[in-house]
Amino acid sequence: MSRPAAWPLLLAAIPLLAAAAPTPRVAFTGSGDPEAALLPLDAEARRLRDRGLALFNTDHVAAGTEGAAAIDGLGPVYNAASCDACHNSGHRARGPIVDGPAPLPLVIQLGTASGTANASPYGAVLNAQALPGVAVEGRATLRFDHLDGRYPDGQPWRLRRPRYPIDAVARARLPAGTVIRPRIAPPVFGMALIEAARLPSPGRFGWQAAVPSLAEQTAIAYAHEMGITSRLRPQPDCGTGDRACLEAANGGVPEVADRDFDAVLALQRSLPVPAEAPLAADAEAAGRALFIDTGCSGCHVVQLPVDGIAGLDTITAWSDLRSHDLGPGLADRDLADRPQPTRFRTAPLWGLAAARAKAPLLLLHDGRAASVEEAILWHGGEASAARAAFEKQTATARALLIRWVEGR
Amino acid sequence: MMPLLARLGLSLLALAMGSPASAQEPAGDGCQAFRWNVSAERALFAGAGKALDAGRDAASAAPLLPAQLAVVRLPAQDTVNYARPPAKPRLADGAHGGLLRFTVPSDGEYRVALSSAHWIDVVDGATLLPSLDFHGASGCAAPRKLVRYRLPGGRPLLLQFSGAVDSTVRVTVTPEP
Repeated sequence: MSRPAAWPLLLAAIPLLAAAAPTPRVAFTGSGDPEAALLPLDAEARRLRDRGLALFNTDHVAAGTEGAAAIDGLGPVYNAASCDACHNSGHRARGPIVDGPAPLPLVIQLGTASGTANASPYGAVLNAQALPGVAVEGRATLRFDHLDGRYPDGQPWRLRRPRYPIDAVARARLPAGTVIRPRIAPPVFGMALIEAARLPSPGRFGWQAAVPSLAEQTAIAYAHEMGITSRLRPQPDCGTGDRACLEAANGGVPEVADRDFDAVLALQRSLPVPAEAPLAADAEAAGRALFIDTGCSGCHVVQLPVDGIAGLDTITAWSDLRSHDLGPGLADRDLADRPQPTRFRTAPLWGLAAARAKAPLLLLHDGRAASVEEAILWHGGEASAARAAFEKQTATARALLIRWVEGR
Repeated sequence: MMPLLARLGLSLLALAMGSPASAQEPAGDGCQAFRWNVSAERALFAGAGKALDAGRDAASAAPLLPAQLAVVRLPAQDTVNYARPPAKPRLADGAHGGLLRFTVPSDGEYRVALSSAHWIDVVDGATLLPSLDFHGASGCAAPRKLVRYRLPGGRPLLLQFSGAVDSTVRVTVTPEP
């Protein structure tokens, strides 16, 4: 579909959205596409979205930078200077994820086994960048080894298993109970639909569905990954006793003005879900049937009810947006490399077709899976039965199911 | 055209062999983070470079020579008239920008490497050329980022800088190794 055609088609589709209508999709290529919008925008809404897009793309700078009042306040410790540096034109982070220093879009969160507030000397995130004259908090290194196995039919498989040794922390050592929680930057399209989903509990954003609103999720990202305060997070992510961070000059109170914060929310709410790449009709139907029969759709549900969007009753995010125990293989680990109980939100599968076009794929919470097959094979815990059902399929059926998922 | 490219490659190789890559780089391992082979760029960035003033429009764009380091002074972005709007809009607050012109000897893949986080566009006539890929090391300034393009040889192209506060940028254009 050519770009000029997308907007009229979407407009034409809006009145037709009915109870069983599919999630509105367009040939979304990236956040910079001026014609891509989830729902129609009036002139004022478009101005706000465009302001949000520029803010999303702009590198923020140190407090007090001349002429840059709208974008100053970065850090003093941070991971990235702009949203776009990790969220890649609205898409998931770019790869590859390989041995070596943790790449910029892979955030190392610091947690505790109990899930209580982290009291680490570095706050909730180990920031790997800092303004001149300020020490970075520390860096993680990725080290992969391999897990080898076989399907019941004897075909071998191999998974990459990551470890995250922390080297070069700046000041104090990490407390013994610290849990390392690597999290790759997810896509930011379809946010308005996720906000509208009717769920049994408010949490729905973030890799663990722990955050109830897009505004809160955005405020956390600003504070933790960029060191920028907002109306919902008036303090940056300074560690306990980190005087350099706590006493650093600020770029205003809060550092991102309310209007600009709203603009970045407007941008995210405007971004549509990329179009699927369906298989030929027979294969599409067979792949969908396999997806359901193997139990994948138990969590990657076909439809979710939504409220508050005119003409739209359900969406197909291929996720229940709820958190589940996926077993020790995927669980976060403490400093002694012991897995700690971790629940992950069912990852929406929408946008996978677009992500494949920007290979290599980075799937799961830390990007360890470079293919749909690898991602399936990492599933455990509540997803063990579905994984086993996948493994028991013939090689042909497994390949079909993988191709079908890749087309979402 | 191949001999020209070959000479370019040889001169880069000579630079890479003759200049310690870290000669002008502050201590730190930020420049070790590249996954691309950046030895040619690292060698060029270790040199002094030729001073240029970026243009405020296409007509005043200063000439950039391939395989040479340029140290470019940029005017305030709000005084710049771009030949084409930057492909990725950013706020101009506090930003510096400008234009250079350059010609590569033959059709092929080239890299533009720069010391800052500026957004760059290459303009061919009235067309923004799409980038093929990009890479960077945020803890390094020599270079900080590289963008790969397929460029047409033998005709003038524009290189546009936008969307970063740095008023000076070091830049090279080199063939893809």
